[in-house]
Amino acid sequence: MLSKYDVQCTENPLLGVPSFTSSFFDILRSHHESLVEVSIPAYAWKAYDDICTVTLPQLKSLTAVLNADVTVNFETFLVNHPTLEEFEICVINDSIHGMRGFWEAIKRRCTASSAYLKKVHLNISVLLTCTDAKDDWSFLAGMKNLEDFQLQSYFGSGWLGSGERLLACLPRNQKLQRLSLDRMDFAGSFWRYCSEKKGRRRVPLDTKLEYLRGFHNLKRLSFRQCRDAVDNEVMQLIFREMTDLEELKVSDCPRLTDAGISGTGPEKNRVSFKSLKGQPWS
Amino acid sequence: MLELSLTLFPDLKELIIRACPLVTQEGLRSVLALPFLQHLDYCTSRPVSKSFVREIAAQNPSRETISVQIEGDVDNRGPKPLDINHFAWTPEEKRDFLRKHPRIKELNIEQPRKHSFIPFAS
Repeated sequence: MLSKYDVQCTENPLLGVPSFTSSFFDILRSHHESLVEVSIPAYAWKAYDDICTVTLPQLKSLTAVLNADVTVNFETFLVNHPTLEEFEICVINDSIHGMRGFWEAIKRRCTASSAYLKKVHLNISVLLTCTDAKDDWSFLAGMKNLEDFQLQSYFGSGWLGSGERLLACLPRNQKLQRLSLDRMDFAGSFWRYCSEKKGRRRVPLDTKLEYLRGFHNLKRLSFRQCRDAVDNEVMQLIFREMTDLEELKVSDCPRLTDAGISGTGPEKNRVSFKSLKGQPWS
Repeated sequence: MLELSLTLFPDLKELIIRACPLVTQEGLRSVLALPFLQHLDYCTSRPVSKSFVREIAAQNPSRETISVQIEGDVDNRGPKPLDINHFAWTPEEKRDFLRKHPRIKELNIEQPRKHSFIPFAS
């Protein structure tokens, strides 16, 4: 009984792109009752059709890289797999003419299965060309069992809207332990970056940090390439609110200084180390 | 007012700080004593001395990975040249370091180019 299957592609030397060769449909039919994890790479055109055709009652994890040429009835797939817990989607290429409604399908799926979804990874950086998309993250609010949320976007695309609105919708509970919002636009940081690049007046950052509050149980946090949005003040708030952190990733943050890491203020005052958990810490 | 430090996170296992030009090895010194920090990935355009890397290793014997990368050229507006020997690792020094710290499985240190390795602004 097969529980995990990675669709394999081989390089087509004439076309210069991988071509799908294995008999995925037969495998799906043969093992549809046991398959728990399926991974589909880009350019596996037929595999997308196949997985939308067959219902996999035990499927818990789908990893798919979708290229722009694919015309997949993704909504049908989502409806057919209500047990899905882990959902990892990466969209490549810079157009999505084959996937109109893709984002709406994801939102509907996430809303409908909020009781199940534990892990959602979305790399949707190219969706900035999608005109039917909205800055609406309200579908996240119902995901009471969400443990791991990762979003890759194109910095400052504007398409995804502000990171504040996204964070405002994420559930604050004991289950959410991993949050990765790399290249997300926070606090107007993208517009500030643009204005500086064009030599215009510096746009003041929105310094309201309420959106970062409440994630007390996070263990893994990644704010890579969020640029100006991560500064000393944000770092201090992270330290204050997320006291269980085991992993911290920041990069490309030109406003973050030694003081933000070491806690020494501008007056060079030494830190009085008080335990955030009520325990002595020397 | 800044008052909290990364040192308040005794459970921290992995820390990645890349391309944050104002975070120097002096700032990172405060996290050296974190007892469970197994993976430190620090990518910077600032000089990172060999003694600092040795200090990282000595502070936490259970650490498994140290990754320090010097990206690009360092700023050359400093008042006096730095001694390249304080920063560039020879293959022998790397081997010796790893022999002394057997728990460290990976020491990933990108070498700064000698001709470009002149001090940053003080």
